[in-house]
Amino acid sequence: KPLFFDIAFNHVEFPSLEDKV
Amino acid sequence: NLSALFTELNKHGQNGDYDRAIKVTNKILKAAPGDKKAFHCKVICLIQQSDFRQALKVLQDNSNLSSELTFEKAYCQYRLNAVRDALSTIRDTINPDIKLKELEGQVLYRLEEYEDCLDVYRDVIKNTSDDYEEERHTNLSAVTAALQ
Ligand SMILES: [K+]
Repeated sequence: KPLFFDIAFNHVEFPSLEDKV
Repeated sequence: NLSALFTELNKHGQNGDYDRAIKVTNKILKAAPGDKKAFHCKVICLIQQSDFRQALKVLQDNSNLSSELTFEKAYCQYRLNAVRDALSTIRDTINPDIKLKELEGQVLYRLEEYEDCLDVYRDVIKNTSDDYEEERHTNLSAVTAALQ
């Protein structure tokens, strides 16, 4: 089975909270 | 106050302390039930904890807060092996961003729709410049191998 990465997981990120803090 | 809670949330998020972060999002959402940023952070925490079922549930139970979180919804569906649902979520999105296109490539690979998958990967590779270019080319190789 060829190597295949879950790259999308890297895009699971907090939104910027700059306007909230 | 909310500003202090968001500062605390930001700190826990940066430290990867998602249990504590979720507790803070719950406090914020109790005081400000319509706060989309706190809700977004809660969903991110659940995904980071691999609790895809609960993440999808809170997205579906709070449609007023989740309408813009199509990437997160589709990602949960993908990880729960509801791959057709993930594809529908992605394709129902108007103007999908690069995150959604990236996920679409992975979904199409899982669905063995390799021709469409190849088109998506070419598009994503052309339109990205980040730390994942090598991984993307590895995935592209897997797609082209599957097409042989
Ligand atoms: K590129």
